[in-house]
Amino acid sequence: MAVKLFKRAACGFVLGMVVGALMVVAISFASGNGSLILPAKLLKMTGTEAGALLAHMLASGAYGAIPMAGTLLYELDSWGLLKQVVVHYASYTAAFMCFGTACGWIEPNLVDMGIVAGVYAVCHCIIWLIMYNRYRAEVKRLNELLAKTKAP
Amino acid sequence: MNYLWVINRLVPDSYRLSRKTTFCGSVGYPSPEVWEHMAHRQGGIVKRIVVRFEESRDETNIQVLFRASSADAQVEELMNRVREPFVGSLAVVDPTGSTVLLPLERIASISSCNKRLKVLAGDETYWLKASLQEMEQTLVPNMFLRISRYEIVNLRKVRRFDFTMSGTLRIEFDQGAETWASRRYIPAIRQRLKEGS
Repeated sequence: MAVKLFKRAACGFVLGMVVGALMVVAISFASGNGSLILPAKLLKMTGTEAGALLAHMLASGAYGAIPMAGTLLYELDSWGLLKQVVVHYASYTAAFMCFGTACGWIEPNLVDMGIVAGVYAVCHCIIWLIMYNRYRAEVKRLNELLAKTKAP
Repeated sequence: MNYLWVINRLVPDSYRLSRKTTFCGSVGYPSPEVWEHMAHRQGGIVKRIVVRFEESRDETNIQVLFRASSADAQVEELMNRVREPFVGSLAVVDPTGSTVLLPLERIASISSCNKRLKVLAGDETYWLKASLQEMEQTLVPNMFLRISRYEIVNLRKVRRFDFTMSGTLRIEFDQGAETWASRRYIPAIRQRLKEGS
């Protein structure tokens, strides 16, 4: 389990770094002024664009590691699907709140945090609905097969 | 089903061929001590069983011939075991501490509990000192299936499956009891039910 956790976290870290870098590139291109657009808080903390980019990528990586490692929750046999989705959502959101406010991705106010929590809640509701309906269909199939098995 | 399987289904433990005897003597056939106790209780005499194999290269089926002075309970039991391969019994301990033979078709589930196995049959609970892994290896072909790390259920005793709002698989038995299974075992249950149907 520990090895699995480490592998997933490592994978999430790399993916997070890549996504973080791509976002900086995309936003910078979209702005059109020819320079890298980085969070002001990071620029202030590190003093240089390179330092800010590195900090941003490391924070993105760490933020990616947490939800990826959190997917192991779905493999806990003793937990129901709802509990797994709720705990995953909580860890996901809490991680973003921490890294987001620390790196200046969002402002530390209720509105920004509320929007983030709300968007993630909608995403996880969709995840739960899809998985729930899929398993309901599978269980319906089980009952049909059970009836066939018991038929005289 | 080869001749070794047939012989091993009939003989008491002391005569078994290449069969590892596990708990309470055997699964499916009572140990000589239990059989003798049951026969005396019923007023019968325990007959010695002689098993012989005759090779017949032209024979495409397996012919089993029972030869005895009368078709008593012992002979009937042996014939039932061969006639219906999945009819068997398990030597378990009832709440009073006595060892009884429990027919497999009465068992709804077997679960591990405090280093023992709890056997649920109807409204009654029995106990067994064995491991779930041993039971899985022995009982699985008889429509028993592992549904979690701690439980094996008899699919023939299941009334219906239900997927709850909280996302767990609830299994309801014919007699009203219920248990919970992991979603991970749904494919295995589906496969076993397909084979059974």
